[in-house]
Amino acid sequence: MSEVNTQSKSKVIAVLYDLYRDKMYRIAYSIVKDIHLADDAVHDAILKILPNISVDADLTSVHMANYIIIAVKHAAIDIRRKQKKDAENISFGYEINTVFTEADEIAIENMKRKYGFSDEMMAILRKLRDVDKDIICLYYINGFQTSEIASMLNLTEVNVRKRMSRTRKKLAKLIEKEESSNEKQHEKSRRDIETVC
Amino acid sequence: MKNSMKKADEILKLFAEEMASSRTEAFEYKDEDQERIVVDVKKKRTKPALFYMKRICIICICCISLFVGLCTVSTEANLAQLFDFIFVEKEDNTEMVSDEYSPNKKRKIENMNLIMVNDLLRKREHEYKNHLNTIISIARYKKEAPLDAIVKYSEKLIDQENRLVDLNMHCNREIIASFLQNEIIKAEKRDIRVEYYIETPFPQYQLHDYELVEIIGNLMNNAIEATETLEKGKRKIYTHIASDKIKVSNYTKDNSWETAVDDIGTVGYSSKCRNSGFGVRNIKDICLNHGYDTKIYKENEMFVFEVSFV
Repeated sequence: MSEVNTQSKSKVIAVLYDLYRDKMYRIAYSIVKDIHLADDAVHDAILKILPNISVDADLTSVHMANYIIIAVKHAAIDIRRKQKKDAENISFGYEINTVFTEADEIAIENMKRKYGFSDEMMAILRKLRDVDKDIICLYYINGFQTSEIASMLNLTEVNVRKRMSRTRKKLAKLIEKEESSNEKQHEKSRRDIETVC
Repeated sequence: MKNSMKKADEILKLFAEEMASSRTEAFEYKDEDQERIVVDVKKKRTKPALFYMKRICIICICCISLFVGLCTVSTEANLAQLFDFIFVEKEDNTEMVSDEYSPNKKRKIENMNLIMVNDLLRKREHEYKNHLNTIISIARYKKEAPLDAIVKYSEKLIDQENRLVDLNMHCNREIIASFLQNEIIKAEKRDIRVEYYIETPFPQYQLHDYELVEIIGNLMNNAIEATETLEKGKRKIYTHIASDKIKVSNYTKDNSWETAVDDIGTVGYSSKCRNSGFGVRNIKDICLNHGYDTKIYKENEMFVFEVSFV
């Protein structure tokens, strides 16, 4: 992908609109189901994104695209929340939900194929909630601090940290368990060889 | 534990990278039509080769049958075989062409309809804000009788809105309603008055939406082009959509078309300039496929094109 170096913030906005407007609009519309609200969501997302983009950022990179997708998704969800007070049980558009789930499933399958992770590991990743996945992306790829993520996703900083540490601990436990079982197996096979000898 | 936490971090980073790339790919816009066009072009390229192969085969068979005929005098069976071969090949060709292009065409027209509905909605939303702004600025800045000005402006607006609502009430088929609305706006820009009668509920024809849009679109476009150069009193189009017919009437410049009624609808014939002559042909083709009649006649000094469903 070619790098798009922008000279000023106003040019950043123009390039952002040019590259991502349709995509952002489609994502927002499938959540809010209203053309005006979708427009609002896109504008809100751009306003949230702008302070976090440097003028020489590569706007065409996968990382940037992912950040924008997450930003517009949450901006649209916020608008839906404001409309419906039932914040916990918000079920956004079936279509968009399916696209996200399918994309994440492809990512998990790729992980298994490329790095040979165990089924248990895959199960942990599969069980992650959408918000957790978004936090992981923003933290590990885009390099945001937990406070920045919290303000972006309308969560408290404590909540973001808790969610992160929960996921990390789960994975760490599993890694320890797998390593200890590997060691035991290794020990057993070593003893077997010794007895044979 | 620290070690495993580090490993967990690494795994999560890998997972985030994978998610980012798969999500970005999932939301990439795929231009299927473009792909389809590429496929069509490829198919077209293979056609001439097949065509020449068939021709060569036919010539070979002819030569062989002639040779065998001369030798055994039983040429009749061979000729029948040859006839069958040519006949079957021709049928296959027509099927291939219709299968290849009609779904694509249908999909393109359906997409156009959706874009049109979307455009119309956006246009109306945009205009709505403009009107509100105008009313606010009248209230703020007009020193002499601002109330009267607002009332006048609103009345005009309500009249226009009523006309739009009226069409939607008359036509409960959204695609046709939006399409007609577009045509009416187009006509009004050229100072042409369109009057319409649409049967409610909207008649159920044995036609697809895209075919109906093609018929109404061609008729309306022809009528608009014919009337736009006339004097003001004659710039009128009457559209009648009923279960038994679709009829579009309009005045014309002269009656020269009466002598060429038979030519209207043949490809290439046009009362207009180049790039025309296909509109009526398309309407006739659609009607022919479904077994409907088309009529062209004069009524109250107006040119009438009627598609009859009886």
